[in-house]
Amino acid sequence: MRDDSRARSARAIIRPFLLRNFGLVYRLSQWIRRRFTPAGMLVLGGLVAAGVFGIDTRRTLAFQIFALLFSLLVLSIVTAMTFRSRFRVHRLLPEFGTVNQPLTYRVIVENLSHRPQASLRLLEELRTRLPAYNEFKAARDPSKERRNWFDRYVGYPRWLELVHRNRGAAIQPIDLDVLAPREAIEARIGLTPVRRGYLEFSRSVIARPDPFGLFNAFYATENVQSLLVLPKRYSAPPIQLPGKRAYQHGGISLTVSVGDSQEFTSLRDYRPGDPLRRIHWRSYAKLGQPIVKEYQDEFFVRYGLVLDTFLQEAHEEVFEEAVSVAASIACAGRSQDSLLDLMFIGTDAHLFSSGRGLGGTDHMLEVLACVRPCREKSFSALRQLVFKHATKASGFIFILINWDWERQEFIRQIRLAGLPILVLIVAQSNDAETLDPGPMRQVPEQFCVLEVGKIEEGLGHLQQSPIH
Amino acid sequence: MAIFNNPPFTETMNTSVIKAPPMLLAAGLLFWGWQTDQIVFSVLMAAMLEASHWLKFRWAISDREFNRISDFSSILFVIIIVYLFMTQSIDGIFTILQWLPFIFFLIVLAQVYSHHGRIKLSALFISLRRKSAQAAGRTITEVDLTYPYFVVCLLSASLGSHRSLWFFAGLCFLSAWALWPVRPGRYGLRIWGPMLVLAFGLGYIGQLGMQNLQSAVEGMVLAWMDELLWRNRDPERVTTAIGSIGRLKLSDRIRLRVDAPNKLTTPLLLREATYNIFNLGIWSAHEPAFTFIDPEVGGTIWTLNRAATPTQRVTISTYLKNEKGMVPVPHGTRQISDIAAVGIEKNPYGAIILDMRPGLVRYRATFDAESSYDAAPTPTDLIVPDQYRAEIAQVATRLGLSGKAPKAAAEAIKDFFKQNFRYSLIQRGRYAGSTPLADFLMNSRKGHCEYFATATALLLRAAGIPARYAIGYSIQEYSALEWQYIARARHAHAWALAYIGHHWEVVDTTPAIWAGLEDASAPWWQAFFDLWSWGSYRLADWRYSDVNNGDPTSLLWLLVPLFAILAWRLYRSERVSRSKDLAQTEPNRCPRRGEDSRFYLLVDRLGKLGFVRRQGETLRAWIARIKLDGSTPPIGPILDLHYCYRFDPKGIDARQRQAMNSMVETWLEKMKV
Repeated sequence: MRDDSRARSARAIIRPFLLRNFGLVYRLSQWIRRRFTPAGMLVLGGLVAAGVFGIDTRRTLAFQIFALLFSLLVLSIVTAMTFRSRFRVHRLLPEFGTVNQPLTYRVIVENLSHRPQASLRLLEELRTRLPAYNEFKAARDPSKERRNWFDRYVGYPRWLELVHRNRGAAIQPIDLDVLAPREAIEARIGLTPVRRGYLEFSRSVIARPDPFGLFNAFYATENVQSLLVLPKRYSAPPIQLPGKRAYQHGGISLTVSVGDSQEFTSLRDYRPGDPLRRIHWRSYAKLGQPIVKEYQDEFFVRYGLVLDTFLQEAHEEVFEEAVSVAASIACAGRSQDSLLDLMFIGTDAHLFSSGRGLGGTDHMLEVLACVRPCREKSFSALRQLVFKHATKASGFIFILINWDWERQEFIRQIRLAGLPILVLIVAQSNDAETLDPGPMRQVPEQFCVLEVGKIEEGLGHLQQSPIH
Repeated sequence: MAIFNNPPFTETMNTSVIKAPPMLLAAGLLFWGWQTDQIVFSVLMAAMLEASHWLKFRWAISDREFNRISDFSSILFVIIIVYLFMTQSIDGIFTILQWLPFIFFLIVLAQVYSHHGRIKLSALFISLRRKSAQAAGRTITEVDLTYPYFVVCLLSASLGSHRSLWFFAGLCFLSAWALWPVRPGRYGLRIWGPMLVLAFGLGYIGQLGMQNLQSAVEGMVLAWMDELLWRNRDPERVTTAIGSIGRLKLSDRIRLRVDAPNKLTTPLLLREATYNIFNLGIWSAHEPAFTFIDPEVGGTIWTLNRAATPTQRVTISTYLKNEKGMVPVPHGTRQISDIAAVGIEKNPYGAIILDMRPGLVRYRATFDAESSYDAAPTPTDLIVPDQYRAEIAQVATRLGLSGKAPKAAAEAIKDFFKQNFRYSLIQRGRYAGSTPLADFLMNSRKGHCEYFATATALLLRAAGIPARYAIGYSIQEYSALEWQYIARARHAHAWALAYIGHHWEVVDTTPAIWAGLEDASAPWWQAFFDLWSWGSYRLADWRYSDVNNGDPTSLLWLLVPLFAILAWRLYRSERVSRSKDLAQTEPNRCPRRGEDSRFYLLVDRLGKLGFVRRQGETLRAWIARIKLDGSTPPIGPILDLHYCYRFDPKGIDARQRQAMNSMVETWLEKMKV
């Protein structure tokens, strides 16, 4: 016991120290990978080896290799400083990308110098945020089983995975053909996003090797742009819950527009709290007291799509799949008159509506692209949000990443309120089979466990067993 | 507008596959074979690898088979490491490095004859192998081992025994060959060629510089070690460097300064200690008990031997690290003088210990080099250790020492070393089945002064002449800068003492060339160090003279500039603060209204009359408090006018002011102090 606590405290001291050095090592390795050509890296490796073996000049002649390779590299680096050509780089990004779906974008490179430019490479840079200590500590390693004990203890490969994930994608350099003076060429760059959210492009770099082909000179232009990567989406059936249409405060004006196209019914005296834009000014002028317009009440089917963001015990992979399921349901076809409210807890309680006259599916996907797990708040925040809007809703679709007592109790309360619901649990494959439906036992058609890796199949079952 | 696509993206896509051009590997292997004397193997290996360019057949080697070949190479590597470490200890690492082309040959051969022509990185790293097995769909980087293998050949070649300029020439040629195919297309031969020549030139200069740098660093480290150890020589024992492998190197630091009245025609030997028992490379002294010497009147003259009249004298300056330390003196010293030592001790073997404060010491030694005061020989001075007896006896027999008179025997030994031996600071190799000294005598016949002195002492003993081993310095370098002789650490010397004709004689058989060889290895910057050393010496000398003259007050003049600086700073700071005060107060000062009121003269007068106004007390309260007698004119009306003048926004007119002034004047007239 004492040994365990000692090991833990030792790790608590060593880890932050290691983390700081991870950053240094990473930056250095990135610099080497970008600046040195493959031949240059071989020369660099030979230089280090010759330096080690040639430390005693009387013992071996490796110091001569060291001296030669060193002078080659120094000349290469000095030559790189003479790269004075100018270019214009223009990047044309698509509107959206999707996680794990390859996408292509175009980059137009124009040679602004008066000399032809050959042997150039284009390197596109994505802004890379290095993980903070807490983020590193909290992150689970999906590849833990296949790592050796050293990697598991030190954690550098896990840290690298986090860096790669934060960056969002890796872009391979592309060789450019000869650029005549004042000529522009177009390069198509392919990348595959590995996460949702914004990919932040920072710089475009034109690399030119030195005469020995060992070291790259850089011409870098700030080319800041971002590309939104949407969550992965599965084909989901349109979901019809057996709920009634509900009165929507504000009527159609909420859903279509604000202006003259409302369905006018009558005039009445002003009551405190009525919005000023509803005052009928002509009547006000005639009667000398405020008169307001009244509209026909509107009834719509309005579903709540509730996403569970409380990632306490669940795996991050499960959360990502839950977001994908939410995105899939948001994209699924539904009737013209229905509204969909996406509810989740982030840094605050969020509610986004889509449907007739409101933000479209695109807007909802953008929101879902940026949803982050909530670690600061408790599940009760979601409970409050849902109950606050329960009166307006025709039914709820819950996408949960855990099925613990708290969530089961919440669902039980919702059911007691008489609201039709659909509960979708996203779970790891080994957990999926052992899940007890709990309060949903009586309505198995409204309860579905979606297994990570078989989400599409699970959503297909919804189609086969319609909810009534 | 042309359009180019980057290759389809994969997680770990390989972009670093470069294949060596034909015959480059063969050239690298042949170079390695030439340098390491493995030419037969290298020719065979080169032929097998390069034949792949002409032979059409290829094997379908799977990833798993590549893994096995890689594992086999790794196991072979480990076995060789274990074996070489067991047989050659740490030196085995160099043999391993020499054999690297053998060890990796199989996997390179498999690659060049495989259908794929490349190897997955997972074949070389087991961790990646596990990754590729579990993470299906991920592409593992592929590598071409031909260029890395070429680099390995060059590195292994550097461990060869042919240390000549041809290695660098070959290196340049092969580098140019290897770099040509990776040259970017935008550069022609006219740029590439001169740059490569420049790189070779810089490389050549660099490798010369590295050799010099190593010598310099070693010299500095040795100097430091020397500094640490030199001043603590043990009169009881000394460990010689007999048997040490490599180059013996001592520092150029100046240890002694000797002021001789006349120019030295032969090197003057200053002895530090004498030993008489030799065993396993260590000389020690039998019962080297020290005894105190009584000083003469005045306490600065110490006579070691009154028997003979000294004929020569020298003044020696050296440094003491501790309060007690051995100091070198000439052979046959009679008297030590001009030194304010607390005490001087000597042992029967001629070692002198000075007891005085650490730092620079200077003393005058008068001596007669022809004889010495050392104790008479004992049976110990005739012992030849068992492990050397056979070789020593063999040489003694060859020289016919047993039948010769002591003087003639000593001459014969000197001739023997002069004719057959040479001086060397470098010792190579080990001495299988022999001792280093025996190897020196019978085989290599080269060594440094410790070999010569030890062998001479033992041969003298074999001839029946009592002999001892002395260490000290050989004084022969005259410094034009210092106008005296100097002895550096590398001038440390060892010689034999033979007891001939009832006194101890120096028998120095080390070839005279030794000092020249030592001087030749001096670095070019030695002159700067000498200058620095001389400056330090002069400073120490000045302090030494001051302290010894018993008048340290002259150091006080050093305080003069300090006082001057302090005074200047005080003056400056005062002036600055004063000017600051002025600068700050002047602009802020706002003239108060009514401060020119003549009523203040009245206030001053009251103060002078002894009426003290309390802090914060208003004028009216003060005047009410003080008891003025009835003859005193009333102050109240004047004060009213003063208050009006001082505080009333409207002020007072000229008439009122005149009235106030006249009332004040009247009051002052009457209330004179």
